[in-house]
Parts: sequence; structure tokens; C-alpha cells
Amino acid sequence: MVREVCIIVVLLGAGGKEIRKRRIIAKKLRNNGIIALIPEDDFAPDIAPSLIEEFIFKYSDVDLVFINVESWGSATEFAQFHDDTRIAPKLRVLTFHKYHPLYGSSMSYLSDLYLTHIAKYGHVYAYDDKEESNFPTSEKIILTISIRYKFLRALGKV
Amino acid sequence: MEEARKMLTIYRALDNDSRLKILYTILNEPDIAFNDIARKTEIDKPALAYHLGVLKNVGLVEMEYQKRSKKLTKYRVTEQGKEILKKLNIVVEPVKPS
Repeated sequence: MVREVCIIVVLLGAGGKEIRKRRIIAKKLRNNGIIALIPEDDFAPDIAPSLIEEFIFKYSDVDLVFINVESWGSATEFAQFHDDTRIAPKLRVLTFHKYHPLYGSSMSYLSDLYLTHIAKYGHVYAYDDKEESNFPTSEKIILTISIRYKFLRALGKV
Repeated sequence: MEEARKMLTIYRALDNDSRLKILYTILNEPDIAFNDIARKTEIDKPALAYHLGVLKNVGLVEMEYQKRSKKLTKYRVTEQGKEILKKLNIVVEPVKPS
């Protein structure tokens, strides 16, 4: 029998309407005994997010940080954190499959940066939330990885 | 099972000295402002924002915006939080002012 443990994950992504998607995922993670933080909802607005995120990811007890790169803001966050050796191992990057360097055809700077990140750290996942292809949804990726990570933590393997 | 998992998230939230210190501070002074928590606990503001986020996320504390500004927040321990702390027998003596 494996004992239960709790992990802490942070969900980064676009604001506006897209935040609803993150809230639904966070709720499902919580039902699985995982603390899922959404900066816009959970972090005190007294300090600007750009000033606190780097500090939090470097020094806190956060286990995983999921970045769904779906806006200029989240692309900037990825660019900021992707090569920081204290943050990158915690990063799990999600991108629409057309922008993934191995599955899509995009020649953009960001796609090129994903390739660099894959070569160095791995963990760049292609998704399709419209379910028009065989790629998993972002929700499925986040839930599957978080739950497996939780088991690994319970077994003392991470 | 769901209840057990919820308790697990609460244990994880409480398994941190800084978060316990923050929780005691809020418990002793309901509706305390963010900056005052930072001053009393001597915890850096970015770290404080994160720890408060964890405590809020698991339902131990709640946050309220002060009037006229969305950048000034005050915190209090939730009723659920008080019950849980009582159950866990960790409502202890007040934190001495630093």
C-alpha cells in the first residue's frame, strides 16, 4: 500500500476567459489531494506578479509549475523562467500542437525556444483543447502528470 | 476519500514553519493587512504572498479587499480554519510582538 502525500502545483496561463479553464483544472486537482494555485486567484494582489513569481518558484516548496503558453504574458513567463536552473526542473510547458517544434510547422522564435528547452530539460507538451486531433487536452496532461508526480513523491522517488 | 484528501492538503499547508507563524499572526489579529503581517512575521513580501496563497487555497484563511483599493488586502482565519485548528489542537498561545 502506498501512503498518500500532497503536492503543490502552480497553474500559469492566460487571463480573461481562459482563467476559467485553469479554475476547472485546479478544482479537479484539489479533488485528488493536490494544492493547485492560480496566481490571479490565490496570491495577494499587494505585490505585482512579475515581482513575486520568480522568487516563489525558486525558493518555495512548490513541486511543479505548469505554464500553458497561450498569451503574450505566459510566453514572457516561459521565456523568463525556461533557463533558470532552479526553476526549469519544475517547469511543465504546454503549447498548442501547431507551435510544438516536433509536431507543428511553426518556425517562430518561441517554437525554437521550446526546442532548446526540450533538448536541455524536456517537458514541453503539445495539446489540443478543441479535440480536433489526437493530441490530449491541456487538462488531461496536467492531471495525468500531477497525479503521477504525487505517487512518485509518495514513493520517495522525487 | 475526498474528505481525507482535503485534510491531506491542509496538513501539507500546515507543514511549514512560515505558514504556521502567519496563521498564528492572523488568528491573533483578525482583519490584519498584508503589510502588517509582513512586518509582524518578518517574512519577505513575495514569500508571504505565496504562503498566504497556500493557506487561502486550502480554506484556512480568507482575504478581503479594503475599500477603494484592490491592492490593499486584509486577512482572517475562516470558521472552517478555526475548527480545523481546534481539532488538530494547534491553537496555541498568542504570538509575542516582535
